[in-house]
Amino acid sequence: MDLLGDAFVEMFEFFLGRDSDVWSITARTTLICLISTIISSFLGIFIGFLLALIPFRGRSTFVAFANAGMGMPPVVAGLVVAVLLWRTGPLGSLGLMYTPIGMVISQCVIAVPLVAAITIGSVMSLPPAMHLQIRSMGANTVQTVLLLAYEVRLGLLIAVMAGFGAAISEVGAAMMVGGNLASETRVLTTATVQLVGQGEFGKALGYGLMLLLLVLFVAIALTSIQSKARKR
Amino acid sequence: MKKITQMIEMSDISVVRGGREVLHVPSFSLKANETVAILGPNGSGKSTFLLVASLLLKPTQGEISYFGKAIKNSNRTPFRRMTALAFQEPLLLDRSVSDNLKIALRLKRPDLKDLDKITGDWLEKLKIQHLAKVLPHQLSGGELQRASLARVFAVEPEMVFLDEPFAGIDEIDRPSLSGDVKALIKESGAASLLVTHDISEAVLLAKRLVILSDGKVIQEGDVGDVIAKPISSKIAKLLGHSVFAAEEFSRLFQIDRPTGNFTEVAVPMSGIKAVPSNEGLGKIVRLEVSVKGLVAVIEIGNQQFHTEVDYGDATFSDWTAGNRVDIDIDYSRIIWLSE
Repeated sequence: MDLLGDAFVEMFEFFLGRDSDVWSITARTTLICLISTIISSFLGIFIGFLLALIPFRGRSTFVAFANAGMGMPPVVAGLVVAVLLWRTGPLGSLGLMYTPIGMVISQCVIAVPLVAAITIGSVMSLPPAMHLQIRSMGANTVQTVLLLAYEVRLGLLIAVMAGFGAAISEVGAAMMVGGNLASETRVLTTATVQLVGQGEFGKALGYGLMLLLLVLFVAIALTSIQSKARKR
Repeated sequence: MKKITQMIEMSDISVVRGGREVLHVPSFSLKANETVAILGPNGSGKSTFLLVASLLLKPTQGEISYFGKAIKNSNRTPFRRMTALAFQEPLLLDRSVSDNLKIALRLKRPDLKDLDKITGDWLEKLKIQHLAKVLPHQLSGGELQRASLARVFAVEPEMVFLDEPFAGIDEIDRPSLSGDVKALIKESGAASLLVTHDISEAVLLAKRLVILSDGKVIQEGDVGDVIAKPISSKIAKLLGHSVFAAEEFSRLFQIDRPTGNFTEVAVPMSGIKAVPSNEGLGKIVRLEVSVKGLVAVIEIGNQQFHTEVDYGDATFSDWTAGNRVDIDIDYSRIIWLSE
C-alpha cells in the first residue's frame, strides 16, 4: 500500500514540474508518432486501395499478409528493422540505428499493415459496382480513388487512429531501434519501462499518464471529425 | 461531312473468366437514337455485355469502336464521359442528391456553368426536386432510382446504359417511372442499351431485341418480330409464351399440325385465355405472381401453361386451385417450333 501511495505522491510532484524531462520526452514522442502516423497513413491507404481495387494474380496472398500484419508483434518488427539498420546490416551505412528516423521506420513497419488492412476492409465493404459507377461517370483513376476515399472516410479515419495507436503504444521496437538514449530517442513508452526497471514507480506512473492523455487527446480530435462526417 | 450513325460497334467480343467464356458476341452495333434491349435469364451474360459496351470491362478479345473510332486504353475515359449508366441497384455517392448530380456534371462537362439551375431542372423533371438536399440512405427505392436516372440524363450523354432500371421498384412506382424513362430517352435523343429480364420493359422502351443465353446471342431482331417468331422454345419461354408439345397440343385442341418437323408450339400469353367453367377442359393448378401481375397455372392433359387472371363475369373464388376452366386460343397467334 505504501508503494502505491508513495508512487501517487511522486506522480503529483512530477506533474507539478519537478521533472524537466517530461515535456521534452512528450514533445519527442508526439513528433515521432505524428511523422510515422502520417507516413504510414499515406502508405497504408495507398496499398489498401491498390489491393482492394486492382485484381491481379496473388492479390489474396498480399491481403492475407496485410491482415497478418495487424497482429505482428512490435518486437519482431523492431528486430527486423534493427537488423537492417545495424552498423553491419544492409542499411547500416545510412547511420539510422539509434536515431529518431530509425524509430519512425520501425513504427511505420508496425502501422502500415494495420492501416492497409483496415483500408482494404473499408473499400471492400462498398457495393462491388461502386467504383464502376464512378468510372462510368467519367472519373479518371485519381478522381475515382478520391471519390471512393470520401465514401469510406469513416473507415479511413479508423485506420489512421489505429495506426497512431500502434505507433505511440509500442515499446519493443522503439527500445531496440531507438535505444532509449536520453535527449535523443527516449520516448514516453521507453522512459516508462526504464523507470519501472529502476523502481521509480511514481515517475513511471506520471509518464504513463502523460501517454494516456496524449492518446486521449488525439482520439478525441479524430472522433470529433468522425462524428461530423457521420452527421452529414 | 459524313454523319456517323453507328454509336457503338463491337466485333468478335469474348470475355473469359476462370477459363470459361462468359460472353461471346460476334458482332453488335448500336445506332444513333436507337434503343436496344438485351434480354436473357440470370447468368446469361447480360450485365457483362453492358459492362463491355460501356467500356467498364475490357473484353478478353475483340474490338470496340465508338463513333467509328477504335477504343484503346488511352481513350477509354474520354469516351466514357460521353455515356451514362444506371445500375439495377442505384449507386449514389454518400452526398446529397443534388451533389450527386453536380459531381457527375463536373466530371463529364467541367466547363459547365450554373450547376444549381441545371441540377434543379433535372430533379424537377424526375419529380424529386423536394429531395435535392436529402442523403441517399434517407430515400426509398423508387426515389433512389429516380435520383440515379436524373444523374444519368443530366449529363446529356450520347449513349445511355440501363441495367434493369425498374427491377427494385414496386408496382405502384414502376408504371410512372418507366413512362418517364421512355420520355427521357426520346427527349434526350441518346442511343440506349437496356438490360432486362422482363420482356414488357423491352417492349416499352426498345425497338430492337438481343436475346442472350449462356453468354451467346441466340436471337436478334425487331422486338415485334422476335416476339411473333421466337426461334426456339427456350426463347419463347423467356418471352413469356406458353410452350406445349406439338403432338399433344394438336390432339387437345384438334388442330392440324403444319408440314415440317415441328415438335413444340408456343402461344403468347395474350393469345391464350382461360375462363372459369365447370365443364372446362383445363384445371387451375395454382395462382402465381409474375411480372404480368396475377397469373394462373392451368393444366390441360399433360401440359401446363400460364394465363392472365381475367375476372370477366367470374369472381375471385372461381379462380381457386382445382376449379375447371375453358381454354380459348387465338389460332392466329400460334407459333410452331422445330427442334
